[in-house]
Amino acid sequence: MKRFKVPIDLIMSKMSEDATKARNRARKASDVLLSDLKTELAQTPYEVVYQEDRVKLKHYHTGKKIQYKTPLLVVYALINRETMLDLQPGRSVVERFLESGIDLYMIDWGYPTRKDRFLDFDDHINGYMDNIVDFIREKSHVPKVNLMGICMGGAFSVIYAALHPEKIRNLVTTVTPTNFDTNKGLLHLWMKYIDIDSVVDTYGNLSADVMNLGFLLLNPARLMIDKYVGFMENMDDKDFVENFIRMEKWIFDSPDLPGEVFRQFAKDCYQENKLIQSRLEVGGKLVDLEKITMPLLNIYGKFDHLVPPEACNQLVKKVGSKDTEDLCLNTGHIGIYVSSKCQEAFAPKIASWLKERDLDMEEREFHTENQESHARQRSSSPEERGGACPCKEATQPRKERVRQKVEKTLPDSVETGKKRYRSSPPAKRSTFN
Amino acid sequence: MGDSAEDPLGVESMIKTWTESMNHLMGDPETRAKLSQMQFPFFQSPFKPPIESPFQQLFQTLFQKNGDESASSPFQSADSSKKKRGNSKDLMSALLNAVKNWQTMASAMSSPESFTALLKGMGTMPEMLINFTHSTISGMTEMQQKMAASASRMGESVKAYNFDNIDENIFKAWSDIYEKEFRKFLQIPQLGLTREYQEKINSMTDKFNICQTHMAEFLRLLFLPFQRSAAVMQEEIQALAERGELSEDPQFYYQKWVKVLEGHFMTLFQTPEYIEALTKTVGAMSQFTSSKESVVEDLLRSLPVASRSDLDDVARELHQLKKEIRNLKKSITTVKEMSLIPAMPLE
Repeated sequence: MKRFKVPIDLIMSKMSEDATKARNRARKASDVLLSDLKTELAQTPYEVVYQEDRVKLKHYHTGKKIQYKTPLLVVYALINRETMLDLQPGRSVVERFLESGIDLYMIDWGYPTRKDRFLDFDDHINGYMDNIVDFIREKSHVPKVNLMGICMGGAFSVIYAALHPEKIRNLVTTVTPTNFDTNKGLLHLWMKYIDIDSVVDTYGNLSADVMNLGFLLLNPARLMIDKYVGFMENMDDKDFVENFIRMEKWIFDSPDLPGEVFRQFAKDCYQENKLIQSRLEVGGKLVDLEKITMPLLNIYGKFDHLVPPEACNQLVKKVGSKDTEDLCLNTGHIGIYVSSKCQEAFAPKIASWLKERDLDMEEREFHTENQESHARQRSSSPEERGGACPCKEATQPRKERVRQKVEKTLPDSVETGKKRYRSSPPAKRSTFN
Repeated sequence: MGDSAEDPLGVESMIKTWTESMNHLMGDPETRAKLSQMQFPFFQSPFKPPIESPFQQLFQTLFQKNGDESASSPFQSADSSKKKRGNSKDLMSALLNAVKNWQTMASAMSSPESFTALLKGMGTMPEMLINFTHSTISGMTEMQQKMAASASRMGESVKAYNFDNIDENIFKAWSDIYEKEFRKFLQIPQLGLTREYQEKINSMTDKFNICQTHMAEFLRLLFLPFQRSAAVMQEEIQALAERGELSEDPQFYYQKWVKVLEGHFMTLFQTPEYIEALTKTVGAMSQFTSSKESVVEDLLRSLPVASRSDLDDVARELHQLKKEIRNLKKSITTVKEMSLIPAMPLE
């Protein structure tokens, strides 16, 4: 057997040097950890302008002039918190949007409790989201809003845009899973086989602790060992410690996931892949991706292990819109939002894309005229106040517009008085079904 | 010989000896028949010698004091002392009856037929225990064999990022043993008023055992990458050493180990064995939790508190009501808008 020399003495002396360094680092680290650390999240000021049950709508405002006619509504996922978009001054997507002059709203889904276990997609999308969109439309006096969704929030946004295209001007989806027929991501692989009904019927809501443990188990070597080894090595650096603790605060600040949402997401999406095939039903209505006719910007991460590119890049092929764009960034699932480098590419791109597709001049003039006439109507007939928002569709005959809305919202059992409109051309059902 | 065959544990002879000694303690049959007249101080005749039995002496000692007091107190009236003597007499006769019954039973039990019947019933329990132990031991032996087989593979070269030989058969063997030998005891139908509760507790115990097995298997799988990484690292260090490329920096070895570990985890997570273990563990945990909650709810019913299922029912109804209200609101808004439309003339 060939003998080889292992420099044990050198390795041991290096280890003893490292031990000395570690001891010094520990002394500095204790000063850092015991000092006043700035680890607060979501420091950009906002106002809660709407609340329904546990769901709140945050409106961000700065002293800067708003340069976009169409407000932007950001819909985060039900997993983890939307505070990730506003990590700290200088590393905040919210700040960048506000600097661009966007009128920004964001949904805070809150912390579901046991009583929320029966809330499903319909309650969140056709309930909370629709009420919020209507609120913003009325508050901002706009016919449509820009909608941006993140991860599961992006899936919600896609479904909402398909069900209510008349209310959405532009759609932005980021790290949004729409195609679940792939084995590239571990979540996609595991969710196919788990008995979801048993889990939901037993536990109700999916516990945040269980979800966190599940996410950690996706890569235990890096997320449970290497991450904290890295922290130990940099414990004496105050900036590093503050950033680390901020991320730790965010990542473990998880709400529970309502049971029926989890059931529907897991069964209809992960197991049966209904969304991308336009077979998903929400609130009794089919989610047809062809109905998404507004401009679509779809952003995803090349190294995303939770939502791999294969789960994101099919959307633009399935929508009915002619103005679509895919953007793949060299980053992971969270890196898009927290990495300073990516924020420089990501947020300005969205801002400029939305700017190009904001209200054009003709619409802006029409919008202003309508606002004035609407104000006059309000003063004369209070009954009409809760009705139409001033919008481009106001050029259509009012009865036609209302009839279309009636066909969309009224259950079959209610008589619509269609006989009165026999002579009128029938509404295009396809637009609203 | 016949005795030893019928009474392998010597229980019969033991009880026989005990009964005989008790009979001796109580005295021979003639003496026992005269017990009421001869054993107690106030009945004691000075002309008859006392029976020298420890049990009788004990009785004598116990009641001597009472007898002496009642006889010797100069201040007690004749009536009260007569009454006391009467009470004592009743107590003594009750005691005598109890002792006689006990002697009768002991005599009956000392007969061979009764002993045989009793011991046959008692012998059934050891037989059951022996059967139970036999199946446990055979299962344990099988598992030990498998563990020895896996231990013998120690020292074999380990292929990096490979999980072909996971040794999941140990847990499968235990699951099979449990299913065949132990589970059936927990599935015996229960009887009586509380049968439903007993069955729920048995079901919970059964599901707990299954959950523990799957959890152990799952945790073992999670430990495998550490095991494999350590073996791979040994081989890699050996290869580096042979090439003379060993580093002095411990960080180098740590980074290498983490990378190897990460690779092993990524490979493991995609294997069918891991997915099956994960699925089974999650399912078993759900079932155990569900059965446990069922038992707890039964316990809570005796307390004036609302259970989880009660609150879930309320939440479900609230949710339905809210949904209906939302739909009605939308309908009302739409109808209101419709009412604002002027009616078109029909052609």
